[in-house]
Amino acid sequence: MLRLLTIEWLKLKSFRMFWVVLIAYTVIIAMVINQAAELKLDLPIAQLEALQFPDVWHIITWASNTLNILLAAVMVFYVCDEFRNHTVRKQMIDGMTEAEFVLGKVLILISLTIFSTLILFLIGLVFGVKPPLADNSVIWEKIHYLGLHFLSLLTYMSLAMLLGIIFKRAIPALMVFIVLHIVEFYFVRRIGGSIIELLPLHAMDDMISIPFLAGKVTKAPLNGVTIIATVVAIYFLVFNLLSWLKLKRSSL
Amino acid sequence: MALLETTKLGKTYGSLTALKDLNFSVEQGQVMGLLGPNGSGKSTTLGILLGVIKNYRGSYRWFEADNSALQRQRIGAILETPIFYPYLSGVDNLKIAAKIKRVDKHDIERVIEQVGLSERKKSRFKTYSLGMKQRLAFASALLGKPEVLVLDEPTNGLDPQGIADIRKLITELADQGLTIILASHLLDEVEKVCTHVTVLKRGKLISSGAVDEIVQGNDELHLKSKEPNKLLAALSKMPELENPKITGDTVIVTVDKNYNEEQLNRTLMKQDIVLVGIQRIQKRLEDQFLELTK
Repeated sequence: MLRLLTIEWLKLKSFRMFWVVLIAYTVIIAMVINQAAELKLDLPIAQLEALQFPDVWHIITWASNTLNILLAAVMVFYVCDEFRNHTVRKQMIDGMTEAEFVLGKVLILISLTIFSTLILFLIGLVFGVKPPLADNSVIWEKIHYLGLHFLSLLTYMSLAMLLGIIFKRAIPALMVFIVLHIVEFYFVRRIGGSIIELLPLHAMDDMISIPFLAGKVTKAPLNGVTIIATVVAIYFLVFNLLSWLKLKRSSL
Repeated sequence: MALLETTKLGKTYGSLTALKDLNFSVEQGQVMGLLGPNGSGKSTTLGILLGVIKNYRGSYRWFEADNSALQRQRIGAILETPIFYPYLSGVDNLKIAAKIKRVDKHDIERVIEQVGLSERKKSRFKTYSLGMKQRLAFASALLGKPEVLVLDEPTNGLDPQGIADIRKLITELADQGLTIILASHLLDEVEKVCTHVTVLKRGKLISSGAVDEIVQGNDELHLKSKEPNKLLAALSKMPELENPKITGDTVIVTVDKNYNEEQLNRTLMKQDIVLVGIQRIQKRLEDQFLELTK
């Protein structure tokens, strides 16, 4: 594991696009959350600031969802770069296995996801404590949203990586990725039904529901989320298994 | 010990047969030249043996073990053009290769020194000349002191100085007893370096063996006489001489490598035929290759 992580680090440390996107992602998230902090919600009990414990976890993870595509795109470029430079071929010749190649990339996905989750955690803490708290235990009440964000982002990037490995070129892979979003949106809207709603992108999206409808914080049924999270975790395994199979069977 | 053994190796691309039932082996210490015209299946063969071409037929074994990534870590290889991360320095690229091969990082300095890249080791790969890129590829292949070196057209695209440098390096490595598999179009290079050759044509093996054996029996004798027609008639009666033909005042015959031309001169003298010139032309690998792949 450490060996693979070191190999990926050696490649990434000079991969400029990766660092530019990572900084852009962090700055944009902070800006979006800062804007959300200005929102006022009309709740039955009183007018409250949107970013308040415990709902802050729900709101920031939902707000950051739209930025996941930035991290997915950089992952596509990173993987496709290996094919463009034929370095994947060189690594196999040097004695790396297809499983190690995919595992190395998954370790980067996990690192990126940990980074994103940590950023959200820090932002949540900063904004959440702004109004004085009567009870500190409320801080951790909806912290599971960070876990859902972790799983959602990890699976989302795994799908992007799979497309990168299939298409080997970043632009076609990203185009197919975007088309998948549109196709799924169409199916869910037009056909609906519980099976359709378990399509990968919709399932990932559904784990963190829209936090406020008509000015009120919505409640997500936790048992329903558990089922969706399990499905998304299966997608994560399937996407990475398919990446491995594709590499295993294709000439490089 | 056979370092490499292939059994009925085959590969097709759609309706095109790139390789058909290829059987050959490479013993420890051999320098094997893999020869063949363009499209003969050399690169396909090496691609299969190095695990980058999939869906092939037949099998192969490195180090008398089934193929695995661990076996490949004992091989140093260069397939066609040098492949590295363009945005990384030479030394960082080698660090990646060393990690993959599980080689100690201290070995990196040794190979950089060996290929003469010390001064530019920290420059980005994309700023290297083609010769430097090829030398970095050699450095990567030599990491961890491999037991066998696989080289596919290692002098492709190099200038004369670059070719000379790489040839010198290959010769040095061969002299050190390293097993080398070398696919090259430069037959002069192969003849100088290789102990054995395997010749492919349209994906099929057409000849394999020691270089001496391959070129054996194909020397030419160029015999000059003032009476060439009389000489031709005399030579035509000698069964050990093949294909006698006349060109001006010279008669050319094909003889075995061990044939003694002094004895021939004496025999002709007894028949009152005086030779004014006798020259043995050794058939080279290139001639034999062209004949085989005709």
